[in-house]
Amino acid sequence: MITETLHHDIVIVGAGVAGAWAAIEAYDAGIRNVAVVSKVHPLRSHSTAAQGGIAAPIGNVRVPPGGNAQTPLVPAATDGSADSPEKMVLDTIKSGDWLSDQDAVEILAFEAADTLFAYERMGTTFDRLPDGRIAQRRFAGHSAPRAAYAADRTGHALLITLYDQLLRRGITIYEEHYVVDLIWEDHTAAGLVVYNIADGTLRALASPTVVLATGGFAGIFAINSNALINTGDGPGLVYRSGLPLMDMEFVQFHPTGLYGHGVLISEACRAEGGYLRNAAGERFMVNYAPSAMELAPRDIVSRAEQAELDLGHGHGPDKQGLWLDLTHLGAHIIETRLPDIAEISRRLAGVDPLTQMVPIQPTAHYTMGGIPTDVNGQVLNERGEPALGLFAAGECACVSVHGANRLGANSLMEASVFGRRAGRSAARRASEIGIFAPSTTLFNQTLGAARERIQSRFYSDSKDGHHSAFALIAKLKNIMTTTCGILRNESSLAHGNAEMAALVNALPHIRVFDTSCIHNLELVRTFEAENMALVAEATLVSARARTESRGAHSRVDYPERSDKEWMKHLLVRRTPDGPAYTSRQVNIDLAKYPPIARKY
Amino acid sequence: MTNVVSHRNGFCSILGGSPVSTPPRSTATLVVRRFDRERPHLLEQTEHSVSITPNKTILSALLEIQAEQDSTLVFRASCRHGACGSCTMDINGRPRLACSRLLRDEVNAKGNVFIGPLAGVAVVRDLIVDLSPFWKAYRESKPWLIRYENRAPRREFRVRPDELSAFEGADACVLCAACWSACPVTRAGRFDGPHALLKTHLRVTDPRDESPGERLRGVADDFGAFRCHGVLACASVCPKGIDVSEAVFALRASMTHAKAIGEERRERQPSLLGNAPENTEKEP
Repeated sequence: MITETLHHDIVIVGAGVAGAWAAIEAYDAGIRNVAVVSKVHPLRSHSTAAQGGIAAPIGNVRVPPGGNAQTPLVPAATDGSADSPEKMVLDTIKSGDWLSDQDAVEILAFEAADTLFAYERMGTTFDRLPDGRIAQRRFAGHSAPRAAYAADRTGHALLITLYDQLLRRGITIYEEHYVVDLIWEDHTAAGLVVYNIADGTLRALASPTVVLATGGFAGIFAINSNALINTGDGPGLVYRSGLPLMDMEFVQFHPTGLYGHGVLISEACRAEGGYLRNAAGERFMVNYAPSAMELAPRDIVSRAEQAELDLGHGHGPDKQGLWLDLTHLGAHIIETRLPDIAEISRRLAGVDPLTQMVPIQPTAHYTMGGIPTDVNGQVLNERGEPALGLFAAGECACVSVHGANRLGANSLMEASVFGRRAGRSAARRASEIGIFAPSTTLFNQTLGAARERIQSRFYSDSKDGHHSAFALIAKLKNIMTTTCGILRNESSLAHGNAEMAALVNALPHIRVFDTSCIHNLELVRTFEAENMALVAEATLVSARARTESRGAHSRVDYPERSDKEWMKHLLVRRTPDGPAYTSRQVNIDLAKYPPIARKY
Repeated sequence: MTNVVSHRNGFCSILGGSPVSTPPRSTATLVVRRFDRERPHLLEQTEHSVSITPNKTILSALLEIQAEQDSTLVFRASCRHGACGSCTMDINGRPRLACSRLLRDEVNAKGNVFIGPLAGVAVVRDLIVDLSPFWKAYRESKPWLIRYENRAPRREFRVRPDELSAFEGADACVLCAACWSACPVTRAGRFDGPHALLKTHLRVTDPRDESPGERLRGVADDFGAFRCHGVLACASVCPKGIDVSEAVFALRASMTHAKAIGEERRERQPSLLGNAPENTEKEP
């Protein structure tokens, strides 16, 4: 293997919305030597799969007086007074079940409008009102119609806008490069070891600042809406370095994944007036959230669905399917506002949503937890001190905005706002440091160790005890879904923890059969299996430790929210003696946002 | 070149038609064209048997083969539902997104599905192709929004819905390269390519872009819109159903009055700002 070290001022891992924004902001702050590392082409990032919208309290539309959840929206006053950041803060905190940090939520809400207009000025093709302003639609849990959208491919519209801007600036992009290791010098990030998937070379990138924007890890579940590339690479790197991960037990299950596939059928379907029905054709949400019905927050709808399925009200061979009914919406709404959903239903399920109901089931969708950061993207250790040089943003980070349950359309905005902030803080640090000269010995050692580790994957020293990465990943997903799904309890989690510990121990025994240097995907799956297993371990350990039900974390044996004991973030890190916890109080003014029971 | 011959056989059996009364198959054979430049002595073609289930896509079948039968079979894939454009490949002789085609729909009367790397581009390994000429053409079309003046609205630009619909779905393009592969002109030599012309069409139509005239002049050369032979292959293979050729024809039609379009665009600028107070904050 050929090795070399390349120098950059800022290296960003991941080229989705958060990573691309960080690169753009860092470049515009005057740091020209910015590089983006991505294991796929930037446009293949998972941000492109975001469908329904991006939340910003710009108040372009409103519900007419006396209207309800189904009334068509009308244009509001041009001054934006129909909505406010304060309302968005309140909605986000309520939906997050009082686990969101108030300072982070306020930054999200107050910087949202500016970020949305920044997209628009860079050419994003948002849908429009007749007077030319950006159109907005309802989204579950938002007290005002707040989601700006581009049909049902909002993420794609945003990502391609940002990609075009990366091209315009000529920012270096390492495509199809996988990050194998973080390099630390005196507890400060000094760079990365990257493996070029296309030709099998290993390189070190020296940089005084590293921004992780690797996306979420809901791909650790068997039925999930995530891209195949969402394997928790960023959190895995951080966890391996001995740094903590936060709020890992909170995994959002989206109510409408395509039955059998798991891919997302946008919440926009329900926002545009779609119904959920059980196998008997009943709109079962009337029994669970009588006023918000289908537009209750995702955790509530998913739990309602799971309850229906447990009652045997599902359809399909495994009785795990429910129905999304769009047939009453009419061809115009479906073809103009939900064209991709119509296409997915026709192509992947063979049903025409104009005349037939779409088969759906809850699907693992979004991970609220991740790498703990402050509001500037600075990664924090278990004592809340900065891990210098390391930044994180987007779904892989936990700021924490979303708390115990994310609101729809908040993720694109969160990735954008905090991606920008991480880019700016990385730029500040890079300009403070100036010329960066890390120890060459350290780089040679780290590279050598990484090379040896990779090479050892190809040789077998004994006849038995070998594993295939593919088989381990399949087993891992199965463990997560059966023991740590929508509804959890002590016995399932204890079982899951034991099985995952065994799986983590099996990781060093994975052997790679494919010996090619060119696009050796089996080797990449092996790297990914390690990260997936580590984040899965952290998720199971945290889920077992939190003995209450809050937001998306639903314990059958502890059905109530316990604010006295558990209004705190849980941080889990690896130690030689196994996973260790610490906790941190939620940053919230309880006088301003008094905790109430969530009723929708 | 046995693979090519068997490929044609596959087609013939499709064209010949199968008896309507054939019972549904329970298994399919994926016939996959392979290539590894490190080991060119390896098989040119492998066959893999997989079960057919109602919802199994070609991509799911390939993932299953990779995990259970042959870990050396490589292909690109990401989102699994036609939003990212990674898994474009040759399926039964046409460029398709593997994630968006159901196995049961692609199986021929003999139970075969023919899979190969995207045609017309250099193969790197198995189903992975070198798309760098494709991306280069995209980059050179200056796909970003071009603004010359610094005036920006305090909120958003006012873009009317009818101006938006003039894009004709160009914003739905996922850059999967199906059109690039199907186009006979990209194979014959230098050509901007359907994807880049589609993006140029989007920008020329977008009232916020201030250089429609320059863009139109840019695609008026020997390698631009006029090099298109009007085969319409791009439109017939687009997985997003975009009429790419229509965009190329629209560009050609606009060229005769490129100057007028530029003038019109300049006149449109003040009204783009709406009634909101302006600010002069410089865009990055």
